[in-house]
Amino acid sequence: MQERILEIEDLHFSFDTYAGEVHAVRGVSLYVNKGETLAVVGESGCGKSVTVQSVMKLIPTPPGRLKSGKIYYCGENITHYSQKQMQRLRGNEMSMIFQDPMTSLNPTMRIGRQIAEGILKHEKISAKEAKQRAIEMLKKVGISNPEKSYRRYPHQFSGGMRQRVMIAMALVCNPKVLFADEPTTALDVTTQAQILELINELKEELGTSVVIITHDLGVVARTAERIAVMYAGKVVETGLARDIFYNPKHPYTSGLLESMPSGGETGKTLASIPGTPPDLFAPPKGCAFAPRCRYCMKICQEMPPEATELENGHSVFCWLMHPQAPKYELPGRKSRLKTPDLKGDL
Amino acid sequence: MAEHLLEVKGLKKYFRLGRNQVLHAVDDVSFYIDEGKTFGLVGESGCGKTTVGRTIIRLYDADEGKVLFDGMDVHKLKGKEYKQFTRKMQMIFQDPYASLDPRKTVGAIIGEGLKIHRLCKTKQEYTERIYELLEIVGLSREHANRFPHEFSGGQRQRVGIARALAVNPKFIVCDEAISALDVSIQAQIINLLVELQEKLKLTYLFIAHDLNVVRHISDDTAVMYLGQIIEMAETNELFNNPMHPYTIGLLAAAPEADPDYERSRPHMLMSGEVPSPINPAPVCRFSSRCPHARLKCTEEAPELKDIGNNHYVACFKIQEGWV
Amino acid sequence: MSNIPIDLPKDAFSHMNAGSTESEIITRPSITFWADARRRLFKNKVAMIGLSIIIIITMLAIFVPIFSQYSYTKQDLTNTNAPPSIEHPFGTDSHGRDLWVRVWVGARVSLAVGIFGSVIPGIIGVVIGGISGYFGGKVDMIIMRFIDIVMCVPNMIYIILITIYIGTGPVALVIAFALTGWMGTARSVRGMILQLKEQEFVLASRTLGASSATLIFQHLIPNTLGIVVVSMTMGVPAAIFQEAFLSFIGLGIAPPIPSWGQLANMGISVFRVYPSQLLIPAVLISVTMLSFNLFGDGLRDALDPKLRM
Repeated sequence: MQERILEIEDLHFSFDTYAGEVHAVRGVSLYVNKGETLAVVGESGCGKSVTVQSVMKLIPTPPGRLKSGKIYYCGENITHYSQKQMQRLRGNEMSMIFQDPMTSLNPTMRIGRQIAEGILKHEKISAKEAKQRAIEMLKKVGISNPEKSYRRYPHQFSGGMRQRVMIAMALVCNPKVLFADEPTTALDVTTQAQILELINELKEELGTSVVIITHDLGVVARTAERIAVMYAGKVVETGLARDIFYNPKHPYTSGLLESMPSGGETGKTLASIPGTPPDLFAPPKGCAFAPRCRYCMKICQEMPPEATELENGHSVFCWLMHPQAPKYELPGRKSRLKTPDLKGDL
Repeated sequence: MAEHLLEVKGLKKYFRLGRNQVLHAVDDVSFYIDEGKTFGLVGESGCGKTTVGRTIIRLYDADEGKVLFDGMDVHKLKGKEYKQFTRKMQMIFQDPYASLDPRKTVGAIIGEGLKIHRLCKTKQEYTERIYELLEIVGLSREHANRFPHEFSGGQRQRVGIARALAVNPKFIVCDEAISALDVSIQAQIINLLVELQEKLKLTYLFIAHDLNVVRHISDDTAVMYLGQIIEMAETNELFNNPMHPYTIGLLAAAPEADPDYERSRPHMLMSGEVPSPINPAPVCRFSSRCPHARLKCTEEAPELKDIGNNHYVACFKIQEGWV
Repeated sequence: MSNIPIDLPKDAFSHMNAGSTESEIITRPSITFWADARRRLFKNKVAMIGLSIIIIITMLAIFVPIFSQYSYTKQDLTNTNAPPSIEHPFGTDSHGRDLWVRVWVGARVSLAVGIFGSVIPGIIGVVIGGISGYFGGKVDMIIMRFIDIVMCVPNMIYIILITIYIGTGPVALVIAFALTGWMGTARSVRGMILQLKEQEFVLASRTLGASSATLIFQHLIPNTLGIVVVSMTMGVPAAIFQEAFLSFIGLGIAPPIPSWGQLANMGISVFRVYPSQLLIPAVLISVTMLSFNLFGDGLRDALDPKLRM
């Protein structure tokens, strides 16, 4: 059994709006092992960011409200930590990078100072040492001429470089978990490749666990060891990357994988999932995916499915897994490799 | 009847930012599109692909060059002729949130073109046409009286498509029309675009940064870098046999939904970032990041040349066969 | 298999043809932009208090002079400088005129000057700012430089010069305000139009062949309206204050027509003996201004698209 850094149990999180309660997260259970990369995948509004932000307690109450559930960090229950207690954890034990680095950097402060202040908040070292550490960190994230860059302002960097600065800031205190919320969505492909490579390298070097939140299955394939697929505020399928990609068991996962045009094919019609995700203002009583599911059964509209555990921690929330249900072969991705490289880490 | 439905010849679009500062957004771009085809234009942000689209549809005036549509010089059209042109060429925009007027109902948004061109004689015909358009793009009649903010991104994009279709265009510029959407919705919209193309005999200029999507939808593809087309060929030829070092790097950088493959292939990372398009030197614009760059690349600019098989490349390495 | 109840009826697993259209149904209640703004405005207590006071003052201004037995000019020299009583709720002035009526007739003048003095320059500002922003280039440059130059000199100086030139009175004041007050609005409208012009929905309308008039009146102006309405509301107290100030120094509304500023001017001469004659119009000016400001604040919050949920 690997050491679990973070564990979320049956988390429910809602937003109170004028029209009523929006059930953004409706019973999410997740865990993150030490040193692994977990990808939380889903479409916008599926609750993937809210889940992570509620762990970090970044959502103000109101409108946000943690209804129930438990969050454990290194075995400690942090569910009801105050903002003050969280401040001790944030940046030091767990940190986060966002899609748009410009909004999370202070535009009027030199980036070096921003990094150094992060260190000084958590560690009792001299300002000089902090500066040294910040420069080292800038070098580590591949910023050329770190001494000079230390004295620059955020707007003097390009998007990719800013994301590097953000990563430097996030990792300078050696946190155990790094949450990356769509870290490359705003970037170009070539820059995205650089940033993903950097996150992978630093993860190996520092032993940090990474939780990457994304809608891009390509990014997931490149980075993640384990995957949790979310839909309408719930995890619908979770397991090792290979199991999810090549052998999906949930119709949503399968549909998602199929709807991506892949390199080889030139066929003109993509398998798409019809319809749109439900409005979480009034979530359906059965399986949330049922209205869009081509395998939908009567029971799916009546009762939400429970987890079915398969091997290697692969678990699926779908009535098709029920012994009485008809069996289908759900299409997944086919590996382009003829002899798949079966290394243990996959 | 012209040879090609759309022909772009030596198009240039510069933006003057200040004294002696000229942003070369589009710098000598030429290509053509035949009727019923889809032409893909790919590149990273800031490469000028959106400007190409907007200049073709005359949202911008061209600084130099010509856009011939159906034999007419688009930038010389006036009055009635121009209005006729706006019926024939339409555009679908990137941002499903910004592209619909927040103060108008979906019906009014779709009906705008009908009103401008007076395409409906009676009030009833107008409403019927709006219902018809809503159904064509997979929405329902009840949606006509709703406001844009009540819709999801994919639904809004459908409204945008319906607005473009209202005037029965022949040619549609899809400017990053699906990049702001979720994966499962992207597939819906791609399928819708393909279906409409067959049904209504449309021609597309498909501008995108997602290589897999462009590969899926286009017949021909051009890759842009810093305002210029650096490689252009029939889509399969381009993707199976990329020549320009930039195209090769771009393909290597794009992640695929295949973990085994992703983990086994070497990630040749292109170093650096796209340089500034302000006052670029007359050299190969990719030379600053190119692993094969030689002295010649930093002294002259290569031209886009056919190297056989209708495969055009602007690279000295390929044209001169450097090893 | 864990936790799944085994004893399910057989037909539970019969295939259902899930209609994809079902998931396209919008479940949230339909709400238009203005309805939503109104809802948020009504929920704002402070703004509602402001609005109530404005309504009460307006009602009094309309009805008191109609139903009162006194007229605002009728003098009664046997009953001068009377203290407030049931007969004369605000007392009488040094000519024996009923102050209750005079104050509400003054309210008519002050409110009218305030509202027209804010709305008319507002409209001029929208038109000029809209032209400047929409056409850009040289037109924009000329208009903006003109505004820059004119704004170098304080407004009040222009107003004083204009009132000296065309005389005093409510109409003259509104003209003076209209000629000087449009510039701020023009600037902010221009800024908004410049931004909106590049929005994709405007571009879309252009590709559909829309004329300039369609673009301006169908897309650009409606989308600036919210902010313009707020700035006009906030302009009302400013205009009321300017009117009061000018009348107070004798340049605005000339006797015998009363206005709050002019009543305060009259009151100041007898302030030591009969302070109520100054305090009543002064308090009314303050309360009205405050109410408009509170209401304007609420309106701004209600119309701010960023606060929408």
